[in-house]
Amino acid sequence: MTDTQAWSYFLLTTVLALILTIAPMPFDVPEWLRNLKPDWIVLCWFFWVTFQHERCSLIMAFVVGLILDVLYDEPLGINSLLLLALVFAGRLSLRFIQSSVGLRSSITVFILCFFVTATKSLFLLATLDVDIQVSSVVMPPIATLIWWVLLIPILMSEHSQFRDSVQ
Amino acid sequence: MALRSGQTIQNTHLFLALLISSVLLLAVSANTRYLTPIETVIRWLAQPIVYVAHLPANAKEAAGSYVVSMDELHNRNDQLLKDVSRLNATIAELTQAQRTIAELRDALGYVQENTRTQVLSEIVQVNPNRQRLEVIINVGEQQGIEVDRGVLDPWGVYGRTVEVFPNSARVLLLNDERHATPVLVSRTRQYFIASGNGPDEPLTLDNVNLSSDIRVGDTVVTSGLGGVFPEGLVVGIVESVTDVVSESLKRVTVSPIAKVKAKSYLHVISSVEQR
Repeated sequence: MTDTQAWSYFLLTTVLALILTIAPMPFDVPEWLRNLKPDWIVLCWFFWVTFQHERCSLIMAFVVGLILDVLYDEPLGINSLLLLALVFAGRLSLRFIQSSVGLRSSITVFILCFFVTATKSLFLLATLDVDIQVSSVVMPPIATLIWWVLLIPILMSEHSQFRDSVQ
Repeated sequence: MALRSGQTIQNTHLFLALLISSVLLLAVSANTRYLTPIETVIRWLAQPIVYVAHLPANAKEAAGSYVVSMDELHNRNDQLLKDVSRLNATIAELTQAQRTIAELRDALGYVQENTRTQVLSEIVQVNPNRQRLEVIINVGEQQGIEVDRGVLDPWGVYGRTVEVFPNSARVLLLNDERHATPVLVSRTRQYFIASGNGPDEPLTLDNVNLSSDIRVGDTVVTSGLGGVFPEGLVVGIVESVTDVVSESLKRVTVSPIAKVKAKSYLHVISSVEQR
């Protein structure tokens, strides 16, 4: 995979993740099914942090976070902050993941997704004074984890810089 | 590119700078409206993403409206003809009633009367954040819409505008937890506040005394107080009335008449004139 191709794939998957994030579900979808929507941005960015970490620049995380703030109608800065934290924590976790990629990366993605969802929920709770359901905090990390399992084989592919990045 | 040992972030200064910028942005945008122009620019730049994200839903809707059988069209046509006939009769009755009311007001010397103008709009985006029951509609400042204008769907009160952009506006749905509507029970004319309780939950009337005369099936309409909605718009029907003796109150739930989960045309009350 050339550098240009890698950048194209990265940008394409990021845009796709943004689209999937805001794509509306039909009005008649039950609440539990709505909660099963994975956090596509966490999934996409954690994948790229581990697959080819150099793609996920901090400035890019900041800009994508701002776009997400507007798309989600949330105060500017919250998603930038979380995405920067995700990139930071994702890079820190590379060594932890190295010894058992499948299991440890799954644990990491679940924890990171839970952190992102819980932080956002707490922020909404504090600023909007709305009730937060436990399922809306727990279910997205589980859904993200299920999708993550499908991505693990790609992490081990020849194009992955994962092994190099932790040496 | 390998990360050097002990250096997991290539540019710590950049990371800290962006982190501080995010916190500052968050502090400013959560407490003030100074960043609204920046949000508008980003919203404009992100329009292609919003457009593509809504393509499947729009395509489904378009396909549903174009691909119908001839039988179904005939049935709909028959139904529409019946509806037109029924509505014409209702309009005739209402016109007569309106004349009578005008005559009575005239006789009583009552001169103040509210008239309202409405702007037709369409939902272009549903807020993906499930903690916020909001939609974006395709009319805004340039169409004469302002903040805190009532929004109606074909069935009843739908919500109110909370933010207005040049050609769009954000509408807070009436069942959002932040929404409260001054209402009255049309049978008894008692005033209450109807508060939203989130998705799939009925509205509740706040602070209803045990002595209040409210029954299941009563119609709840807007009271006209607060200036957002004129009086008499249907909000919902009383669904249940439960005595909470320990609090000396009644818990009254109201099923909203508006179909907040249906994609329909909305009317925004652009102005309420007094003549």
